[in-house]
Amino acid sequence: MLEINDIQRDYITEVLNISMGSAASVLSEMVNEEVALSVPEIDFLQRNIAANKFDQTSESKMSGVTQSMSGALSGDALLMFPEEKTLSIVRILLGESVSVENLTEMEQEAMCEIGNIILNAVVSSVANILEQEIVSSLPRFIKGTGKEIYAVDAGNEDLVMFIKVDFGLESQSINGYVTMMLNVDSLQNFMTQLDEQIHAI
Amino acid sequence: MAEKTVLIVDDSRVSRMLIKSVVVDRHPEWVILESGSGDEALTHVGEAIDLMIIDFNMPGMNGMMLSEQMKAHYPDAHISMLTANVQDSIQQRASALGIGFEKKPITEAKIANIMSQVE
Repeated sequence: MLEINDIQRDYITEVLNISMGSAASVLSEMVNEEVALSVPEIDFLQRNIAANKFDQTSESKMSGVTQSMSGALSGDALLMFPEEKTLSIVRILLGESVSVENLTEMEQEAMCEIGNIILNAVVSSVANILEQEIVSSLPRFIKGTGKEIYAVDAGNEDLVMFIKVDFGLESQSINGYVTMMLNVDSLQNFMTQLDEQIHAI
Repeated sequence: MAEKTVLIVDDSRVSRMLIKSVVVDRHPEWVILESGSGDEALTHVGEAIDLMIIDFNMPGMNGMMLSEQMKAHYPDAHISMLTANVQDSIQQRASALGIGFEKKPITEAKIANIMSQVE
């Protein structure tokens, strides 16, 4: 089982803080207001347990966007909002010029683009800190509970590094989450890279 | 003011809409061509194009491959990559190719900045 020591955990948290910071800054640029961020939670979990954990923390069905990563890190990144808030988010992005009918029609596409921008900001920032390249797939729109979204069956016990950060837009009372599930086989390289950077400090 | 032709290449219709609205606001006389992919963009080769605003992550050919080809066809046009993928490696490739680079999200100021290259 892969384990991380305190200094590695501290450094990963810092890498994520910086990366989520750049995602928050692009989100704030899109919605024109400050975005509040939580401290990243990092756990090594079996995939099925991670999905359950996600389900417990979200009270409602969620909708959002997922992108797969490969290269220096492999896994999935997700951006999630409560399902009932997506139209408000799309409205903020597109402004008042778009009619309600068009807004509903464009909901998925607009969410994909929002997800693309935010998730790429996180992934690009991690890649830049690691001085490596991470390739992200095209964004895909998703809907459902944690378990449905992660599409796991109870038997999937693959170990993943599960990362979760909450963010909020106060004036719109919108809360969302960014999560990453990183495949452990790609983490060895990630940890080596982190150790090199920690030693260089 | 001279009329210009802008080619907007982005697989996201929403992004194309946002870019287009800024271009139209500033220069209603400009001609706007839109493509949802690199292959579709290449069908415009031969037409007069002054400015290209190209996304990086697209199905099929990515924006960098498209920009390389467009650069060969249009050595005098201004090409700017406008992308959410802000990795240093991508920015370095754009700079080596001699094209502009702007980070998404799309804002009026960023599009105006790209447009100023040909105004």
